Amino acid sequence: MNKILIIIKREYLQAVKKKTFLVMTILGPILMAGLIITPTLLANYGKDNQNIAVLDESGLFSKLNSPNDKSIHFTYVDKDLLVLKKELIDKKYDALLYIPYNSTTLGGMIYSTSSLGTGVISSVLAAMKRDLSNEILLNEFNISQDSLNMYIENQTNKIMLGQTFIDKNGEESKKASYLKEIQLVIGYISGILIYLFIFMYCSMVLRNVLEEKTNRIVEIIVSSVKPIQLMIGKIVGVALIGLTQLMIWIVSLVIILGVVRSSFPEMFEKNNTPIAVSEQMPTDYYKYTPSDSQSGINVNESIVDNEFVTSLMEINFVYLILFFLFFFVTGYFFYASLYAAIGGAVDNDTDTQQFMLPLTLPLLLTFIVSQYIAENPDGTLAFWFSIIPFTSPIAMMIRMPFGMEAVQSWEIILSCSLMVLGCVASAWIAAKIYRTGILMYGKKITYKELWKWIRYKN
Amino acid sequence: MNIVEAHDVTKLYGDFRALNKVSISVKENNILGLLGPNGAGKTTLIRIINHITFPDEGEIFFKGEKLTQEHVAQIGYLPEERGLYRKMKVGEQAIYLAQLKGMSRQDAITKLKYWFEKFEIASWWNRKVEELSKGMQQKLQFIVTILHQPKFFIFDEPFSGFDPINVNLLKNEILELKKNGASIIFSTHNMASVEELCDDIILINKSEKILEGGLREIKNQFKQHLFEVVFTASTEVELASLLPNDFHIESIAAYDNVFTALIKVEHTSANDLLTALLPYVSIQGFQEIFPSMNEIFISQVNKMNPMNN
Repeated sequence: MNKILIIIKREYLQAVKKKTFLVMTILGPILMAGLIITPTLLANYGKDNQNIAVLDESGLFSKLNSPNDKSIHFTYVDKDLLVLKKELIDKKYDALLYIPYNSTTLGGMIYSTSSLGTGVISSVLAAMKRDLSNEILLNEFNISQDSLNMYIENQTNKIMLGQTFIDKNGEESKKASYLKEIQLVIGYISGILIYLFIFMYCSMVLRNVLEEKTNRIVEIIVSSVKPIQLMIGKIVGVALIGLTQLMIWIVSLVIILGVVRSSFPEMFEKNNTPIAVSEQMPTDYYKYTPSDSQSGINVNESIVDNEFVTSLMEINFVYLILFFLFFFVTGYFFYASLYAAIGGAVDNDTDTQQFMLPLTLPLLLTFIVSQYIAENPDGTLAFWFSIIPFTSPIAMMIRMPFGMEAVQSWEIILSCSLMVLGCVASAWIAAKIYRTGILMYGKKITYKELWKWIRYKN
Repeated sequence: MNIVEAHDVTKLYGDFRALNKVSISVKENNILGLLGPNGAGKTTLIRIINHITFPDEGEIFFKGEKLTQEHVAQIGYLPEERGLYRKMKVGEQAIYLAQLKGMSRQDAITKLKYWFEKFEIASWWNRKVEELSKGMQQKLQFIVTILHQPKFFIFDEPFSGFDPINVNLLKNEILELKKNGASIIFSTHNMASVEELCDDIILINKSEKILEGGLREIKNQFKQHLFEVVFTASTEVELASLLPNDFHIESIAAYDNVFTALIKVEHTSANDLLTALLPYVSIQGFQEIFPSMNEIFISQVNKMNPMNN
């Protein structure tokens, strides 16, 4: 046991003292942030052609032109509001703009199932203001330019735009639910983290094992310790290097969050009520009076952050973190043993390729199908991917944030047990291959040969 | 008493029999030469004695006890395939390897300082291993092997990569270890060093032990009854016609009037040869020629591999 500690210590210190460790520790979060932020940005700004259905009962906006940025497309419909809401739930449109007939106020309500991209509301409002003026100018009034301008100014400032969210069951609420997005993001982040960790640190295990073999130091070492001790020492040592890196990242994240929190405390208060359309506008649109409308057009983005925090709090983080650590560690050990076995079996880098493929493929495949798993976290694909130890660390982490509805307890128990069994099996196989392989030089290794080694008695 | 004994050790790799019922014993305070052509099974046997691999049949005893992992700390093993971590510092690496042998850090440092001074590599303590010459790396490996002061050593090709000066240094160290009571298994293809160092010999070929015994006894066993006679004769003597049939002249060479003849003696003795020669020549030197280990090795291995003849 003591000797394993000596091996772990050397493995750890050797890597931590290297410059590459420092570089990766700094670059890691930047890469990671890029990996996460880029798709989010693309999703928000690049959302092309938001198809918004327009039901205009007032008749004042009958020629609403699409906004300048072209990313929003208006479709005029003439159906019952209830029918349209159903169609919205069925994803026929991205959003529904309802402008009721009303003599005292101008404005409407945007219905959507999930949050719209940033700027959509202001774009729609801008389009309404612009086209209202045209309508009024052309059809209704015949007055002097000055009074017209004044009137337009007066009226456009009074245009109200509310926002309502409709969930799957048709329940309406003023608050956007970011829950699904957050679940997705958490799933992806933990999936990516596990994926990267396994790749980075397992190849480190492979490299270090191969280094010992090609350096011919391995026989000197196994004359003092058992090969299995050396293998365990290496795997644990590298795991600690990875965990150190992860801890550095987490601590710096907490510090950054702390700084952000003290700088913008309002973001984190749960029931903060900023001046915003959706909060002030009563559910019954018709009771709305112009006198209340002064601030109505201020689409305050801070409400978005507030809702985000609220949704964030619906996630059971303790539970998620525990499972993340479980799959993080077991996934690593499962693959690291197999990588160590490869490193022990082959003589040089080029020979590793043929054995690497079967190990990288399952992870890559899980990553490719992760989108389908996320869309359908209780589906068959998700189930099978999350009980096979080769794929379950990533598949499970994508599913877990969706909670108990998506992953039932028996599935979790099955997945975790199979994962542990998988670790034991891979460690056993690896130990057999490693023990024989590290002392074998100049032999072309085939799968048949490896199978023979596994069957050696001692 | 024997420090290490192997009883009927058989090792299988799948269908391949790497060792077939090989028994050896290393006597206390002796150097045993473990010889054999490449692939004979020497390294397998050495690894089994080091508890790195395990026999399928047979047993190993260390100081009379069945070999366990605990005994490994009492063995100093210098493998044939030996290397070092290239990126690690020399001193740090030596400490690490010593700690794996069970030494404390402080103890390791104290002893390493002594040996580094003795082997004149003290100035390299803080350098990286990759900056060392091969000879210096070999010295470092040797130091690490003997540092924990075991009483039993296995040296597998210890001289490879050394220049003659360092070979000598190492030979003296090995003899010094023996003087201090150590027992050693010495495996090499360099037969000259076997004759210099070994007390006993074991020859392994094709997974089987084919020869075993004391160095002198083996050489005696394989002697060809050849005698080298140096003599002077005034005129050219027809030795062949003068000597009885029991003596067969293998070769004869002349330098001025000094002759060196190699004569094989059959059925009689060296005294008879001398008696037969004395009337005709004046003898300057006379000695029996024993076969070298090199010759014994080649003849014994070839006997089993007729294809090589």
